[in-house]
Amino acid sequence: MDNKEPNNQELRLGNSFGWVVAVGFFLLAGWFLLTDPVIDSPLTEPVSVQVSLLPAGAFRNATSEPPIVTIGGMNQQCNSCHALFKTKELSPRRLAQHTELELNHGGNEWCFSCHDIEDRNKLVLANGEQIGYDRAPELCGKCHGPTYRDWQVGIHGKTMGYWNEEMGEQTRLNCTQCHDPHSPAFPDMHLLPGPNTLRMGEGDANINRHDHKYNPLRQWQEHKTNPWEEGH
Amino acid sequence: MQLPILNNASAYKGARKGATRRSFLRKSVAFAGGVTAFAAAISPLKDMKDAPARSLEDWFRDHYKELSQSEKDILFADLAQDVKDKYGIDVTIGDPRPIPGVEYGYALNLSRCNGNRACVHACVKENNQSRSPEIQYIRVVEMPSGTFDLENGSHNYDEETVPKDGHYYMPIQCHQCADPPCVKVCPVEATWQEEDGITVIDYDWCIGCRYCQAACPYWARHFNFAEPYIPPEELNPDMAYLSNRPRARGVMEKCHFCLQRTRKGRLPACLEACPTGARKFGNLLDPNSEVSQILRTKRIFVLKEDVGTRPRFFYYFDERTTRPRDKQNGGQA
Repeated sequence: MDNKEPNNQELRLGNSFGWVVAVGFFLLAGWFLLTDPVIDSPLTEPVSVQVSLLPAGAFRNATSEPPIVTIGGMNQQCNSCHALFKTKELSPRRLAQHTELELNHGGNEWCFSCHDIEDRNKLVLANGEQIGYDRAPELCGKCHGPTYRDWQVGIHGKTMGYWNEEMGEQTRLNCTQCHDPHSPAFPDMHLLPGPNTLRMGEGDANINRHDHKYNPLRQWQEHKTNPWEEGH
Repeated sequence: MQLPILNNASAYKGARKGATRRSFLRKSVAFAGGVTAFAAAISPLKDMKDAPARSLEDWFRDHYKELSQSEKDILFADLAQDVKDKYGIDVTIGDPRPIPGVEYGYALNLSRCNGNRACVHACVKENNQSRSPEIQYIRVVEMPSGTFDLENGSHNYDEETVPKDGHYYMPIQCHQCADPPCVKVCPVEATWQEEDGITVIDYDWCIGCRYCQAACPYWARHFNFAEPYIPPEELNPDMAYLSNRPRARGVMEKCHFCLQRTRKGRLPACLEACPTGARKFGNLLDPNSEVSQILRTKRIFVLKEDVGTRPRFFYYFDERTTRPRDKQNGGQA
């Protein structure tokens, strides 16, 4: 009979272990009940970007008509002056007028690569055909053939509105709504704020971005060099 | 006549005999512990703000795919009311369905992207992403020209102006894979691919296990570690159930090609914000769409082709000759 029943010593040991576990769970349950869960999340100051910084429309204003300039309070078109004053010297030279224009367009060193000599309200193709400003992309296409071909089918250039033209209007910008024809290379742009998101590497919110000591990723990155910059 | 229990006096006496002071204390403590544990288990209920009937409905609601239209209507109206209670703004929560015969594709011209991050912030605004802690669906990686080492790329480039000489920029977002690993790993089918190729999440069904985040090779899935914060005045009121309605703490979210816009025929917000026209979007099944033209005529590639996910997000670049600007930069475009 003594072999089947646990003796007092064993009972006491078993019970004390059970008590520790029970009290542990008891305390834990009470702690969960009485305390609010604390979540350490690296909250950051929200970054707000003005809607005006997000360019929704055309990058620059461009008209399909000859540009209108205001001289002496009067709105003038090109021919208002150029019909009166004929161009004397047909060779590239420093201009006295239009000095605000920066001509930086590859091999185009003078105005008459694109503007018509006789009728300044018109543009001119390489074969001498006069075209209106509304057909400017054709003129661009004479040199930038592949880009023009891409633009025609929508591969190059910005499209806005609806992808499905049956459901709404689609707007496809033309060359001069993005590029300055006198200096067509796309200008350098200012940046919008970088990420403070979690798990995007060195931008982790709890890390002071300018303090390299606490950012192993950044430290690691600084020791990497770009082979191209080294001149290899 | 006597009651039977009193007849059996010896049994009654035996039962009484076992109830010692020690066993009484032991049972009392065990009972108190049990009650406390139960109270702790149901303690989340004390934070519940909804009416009990509403909470029970939420609790026992079917999967989105099994809801009838009338059930959906009630649900969306309730959700819109929740948003109004929280943000004080009238919103519409719609449920645009895939357009038959449409499979969406995205193409991005790496030659044109200049890394100005307009897409990132347009996306945050359109899709009501949390501003703090910050969640962004698009990450733009700056990488040295001539290299393709994402590990060596920088998310936090901070130049005065972009593009930086000798570098190019690679925006990465959800690739809407045809064979999505994130969908395969979801243990509760809270995420699935729809007929038009967009992989969506039911935020109310997601349990926040983050398996999909681990499975996605494009870092496209994002977890709400804390209660999202969106300034009420910046909330986009045009919402859809499966896309940009406000999320709760503890669920996943991801890019969904702005389905609240694209399923109504509009272009995605990131595309409309891009000042360089580097982003192209359209129907892959329409041979005349912009993306189809790109797939036919351009040199395209997909990111991490080797993992076999078959993305619907394509990168391409223009054939180009050296230009004067490139010469200044040491020949690197």
